[in-house]
Amino acid sequence: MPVCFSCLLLIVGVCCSKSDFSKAIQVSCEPFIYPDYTDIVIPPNIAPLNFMVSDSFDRVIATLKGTKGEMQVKGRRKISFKDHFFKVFLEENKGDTIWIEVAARKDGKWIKYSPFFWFVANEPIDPWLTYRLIEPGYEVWNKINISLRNVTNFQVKVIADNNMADNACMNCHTANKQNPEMSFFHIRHSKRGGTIVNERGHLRKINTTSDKTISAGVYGSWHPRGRFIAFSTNIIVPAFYSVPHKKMEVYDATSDLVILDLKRNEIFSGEAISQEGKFETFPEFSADGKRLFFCVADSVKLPDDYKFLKYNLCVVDFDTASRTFGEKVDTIFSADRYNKTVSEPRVSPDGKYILVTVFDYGTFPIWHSEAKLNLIDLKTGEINPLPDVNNNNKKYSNSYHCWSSNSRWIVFASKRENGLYGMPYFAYIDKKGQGHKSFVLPQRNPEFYGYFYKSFNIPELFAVQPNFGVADIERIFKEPAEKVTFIGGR
Amino acid sequence: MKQINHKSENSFWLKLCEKGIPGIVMAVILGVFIQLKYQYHFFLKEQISFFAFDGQHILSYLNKPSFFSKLVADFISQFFYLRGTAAIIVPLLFLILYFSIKKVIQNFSDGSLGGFYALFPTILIIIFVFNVNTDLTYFISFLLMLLLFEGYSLLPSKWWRSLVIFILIPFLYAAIGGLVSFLGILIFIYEIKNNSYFSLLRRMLTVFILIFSLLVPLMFRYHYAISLSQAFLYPVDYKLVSLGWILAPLFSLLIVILLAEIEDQQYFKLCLCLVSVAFIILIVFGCYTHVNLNLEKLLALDSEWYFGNIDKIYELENKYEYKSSAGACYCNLAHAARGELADRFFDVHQTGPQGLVLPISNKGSYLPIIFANEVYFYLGDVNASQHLALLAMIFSSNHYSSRLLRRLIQVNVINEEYKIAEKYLKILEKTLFHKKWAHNLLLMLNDNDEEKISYISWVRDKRLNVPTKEDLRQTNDCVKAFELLLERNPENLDALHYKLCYHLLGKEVEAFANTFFQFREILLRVRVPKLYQEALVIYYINKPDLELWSQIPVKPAILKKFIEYNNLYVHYQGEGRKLEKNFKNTYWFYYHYAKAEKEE
Repeated sequence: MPVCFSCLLLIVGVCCSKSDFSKAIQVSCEPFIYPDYTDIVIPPNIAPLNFMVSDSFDRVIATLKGTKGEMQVKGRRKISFKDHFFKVFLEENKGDTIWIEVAARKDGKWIKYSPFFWFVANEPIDPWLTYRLIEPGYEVWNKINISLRNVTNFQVKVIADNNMADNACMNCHTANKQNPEMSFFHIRHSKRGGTIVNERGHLRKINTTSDKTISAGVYGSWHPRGRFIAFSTNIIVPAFYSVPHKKMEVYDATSDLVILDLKRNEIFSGEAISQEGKFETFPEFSADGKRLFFCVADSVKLPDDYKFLKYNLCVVDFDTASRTFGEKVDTIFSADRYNKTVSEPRVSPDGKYILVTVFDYGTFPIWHSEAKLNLIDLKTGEINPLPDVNNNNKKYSNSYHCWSSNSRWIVFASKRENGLYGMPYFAYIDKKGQGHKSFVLPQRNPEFYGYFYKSFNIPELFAVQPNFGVADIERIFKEPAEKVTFIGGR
Repeated sequence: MKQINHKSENSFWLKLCEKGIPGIVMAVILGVFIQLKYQYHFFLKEQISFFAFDGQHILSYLNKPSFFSKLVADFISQFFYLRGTAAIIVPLLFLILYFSIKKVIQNFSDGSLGGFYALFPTILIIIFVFNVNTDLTYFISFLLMLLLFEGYSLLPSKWWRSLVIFILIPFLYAAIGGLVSFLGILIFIYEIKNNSYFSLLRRMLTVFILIFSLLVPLMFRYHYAISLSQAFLYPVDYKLVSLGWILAPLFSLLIVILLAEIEDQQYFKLCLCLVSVAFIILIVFGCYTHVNLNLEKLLALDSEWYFGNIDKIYELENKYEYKSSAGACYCNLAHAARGELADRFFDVHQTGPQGLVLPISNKGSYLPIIFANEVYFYLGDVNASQHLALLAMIFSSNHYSSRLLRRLIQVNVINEEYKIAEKYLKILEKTLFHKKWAHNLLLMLNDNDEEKISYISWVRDKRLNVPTKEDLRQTNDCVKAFELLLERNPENLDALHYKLCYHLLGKEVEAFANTFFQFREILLRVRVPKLYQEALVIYYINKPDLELWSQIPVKPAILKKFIEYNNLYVHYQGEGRKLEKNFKNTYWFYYHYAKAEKEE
């Protein structure tokens, strides 16, 4: 059956006959295609990786050769695969390499490039991706929505839109990797704001502010069992750079951590996670829920000493039964040792690794062009700088990363394309913890990103589709928020 | 004999109405008014809208209802870029709408005054276009709605006519927005009026059309992620324009249809008088609400600055009295461009430091953000300019702006962020009137011809001034911005004079004097402006022992005048009015009596 289907692809696929390239000029380099999908590892369930060649060509042919079949697609400048054929072709070649030969015509002459490859991994990527679309306008917003994209095809729908929530800011849609039907995000509104908690389609709005905490919950992480969410509470200050190559610095004037108990509507903290003279932020529960990772820095005089604000990655034990923290805080990543700062720790669902953003100083990597993803092996403490994932350390930030539920794929936002607009990139992390070249979320029209004027912000993968929509958010926005009680903690 | 005259007068008036002469006269008046008094509003409409001949850009219109109206509106708005075109396009649109309304009225009844009635809804909707917060979309939606009704009435009166419109309603909602509900109402009234030969099926379909047209916005609002009120009001943003004005043209259309219907009735003349008076009051009030001639004067400054016509700004400054901070901001900017900021300080109605650089807030209009962006760009603080250009684009009604895109391109070229500049240029290259500029620039970037790029006047000039010392600052911290600019290039005289005048406007004489002393070598190369001398005198009486005074030339005449001022000040016990005549244009008078004015 598969062989038959491959034959069918050849016959009815996207074009009808193979072109004769006997007179084509062979060049020894790979084609320059946009987006750059050359030599990458791809999920077997990814949407068609449509691409295009430069303006100077008037015709292009791509021939995909796998062990099990071949497919040829023609286009003027763009190569657009039929969804179904592409899906089947990848499925057929799962765990194998596909070679793509590109020939392009310029001034009536065909040029044939060296083939590039796609290695089709065995492990699929979580099919649902949510992201926030926002204008790259520093600290303000007007129109924001949280969109849901099916990465196995091109379907997109808006699941929350601030247009239906009095233009309030919406941010940080975060999944529970162990309980994929749970997620939360914040609606920032002076009267009707709160943290929207999605528990298997049932939405709750919780006001996480209390007079004993610095602010409402900001950066958060689900406890794997879904009862707790760890939050940072921060006073966030935006400031602007004077020099051209830097735009903005966002720093915390002060910050602490708290835990929200969804069962009892209580928040509590602990000495280890809210120390005097320290800025704690970006909490992240371990995969088993027994430890809490977080970033912590010594307080400095701000904004004067902003370059000395450097965060360590630390971890402390957490006991769910007693809702208490251990006394010993271990340092996983020392800011002093590396003279760097660390933020946004995300533990792989298998518990083996923690993925962090490392950059020169501060807490907010989005505007730091030097920000890179680093993978820390939780067993050995070894740090992998993931050069292929980070575009071989070329500048422009990579941040707001997230794991697929099988721990083999990551998604992150990167401004590498132009330094201003964030785009979602995927990368494969193999079983040995090695990262492979990242590639951008495919779009039906490969020109899409060139003419899109919003930033993809906080991409988050979901194994199951978040089952709420704009109507639910509109309804919950109007409802009063549940209140929480701060109970201290140790 | 008298009766005959009266009849002939009547028939003359009816003939005029029949031929649509009132509408034509009104269109001419409108064209003249726009050309003479209101063209800058339409320049702004072009500057904050955007139309590109690009598939993806055009497809993006489908994200919200009334995509077709918005598309047509943006397409038309781009022509406002050319001087004089608004005075042609808007009257033409007025005429098309006028005759469409006239035809719709005639569809309902054979009333002879259709040409007169049609004026009211047309004027009400055209007034709407004059509002700074609206574009042409609602106008186009209204027009399309009328044309659709016309098309409907032209179809053979068969049962399938109703079915066709019933099926089309969701598509029409996508195309023209919430006005599809009004179309349903019009069709319902039209069919009910002609229902003598209706079958049950036709009657049911007519009712279904009405119900469906009212339900469609509700059905599709989650698809478009819009609120309940937006679902019915799209494309108008009821937060920017009050609901009454959105509904006024619709109700007025219904009223004039009714009026045409009762022409034969005895009480018609009374009704006509009452309705006419009501409409005239409404129109006058509408003009008062939407037609902002003060803002037009301000937009004149803004557009002329954008077009680079400093002479014209000087002309406008002499012609009108600008009393707002925004007005002061542009007048000061024009003076700075001529190197006369301090010399012409009192030619401007100074409103305090905000008259130099408008403070930014996330409340209120986007216009001050655009204005402030111009100041920062002029001074060389391109980072601040970029920040404000992005903010203004976010807060402008369309979220796209040809003018702000150009600014972002300039900033990114200056900053050598060519990738992002290319992104913007590629879309601007697909516009009608910015194409050439974008294409030429794109060619240079594609050729990677750094030498050519650095010869572009605005690149060369600004790169000399862009701050290089890394520091953080808050949005409205102008003083730090000036300091960073001067640290980069002490010869940046614009930044220097801005800083000096900023302190003076804030009555910070010590900060002014310190800046003056710090940059005295540069300032003393040329004649020290009278304004600065007057301010220095104030500082001198507080700190007479400074050695520096020997280097600072203050004319004896100014010292003498200051003594005179002081004596009179004491003599009149600080009564400003008595000092105004002789000292109005002195810094001492400003120092004592000027108050920062409330923003308009």
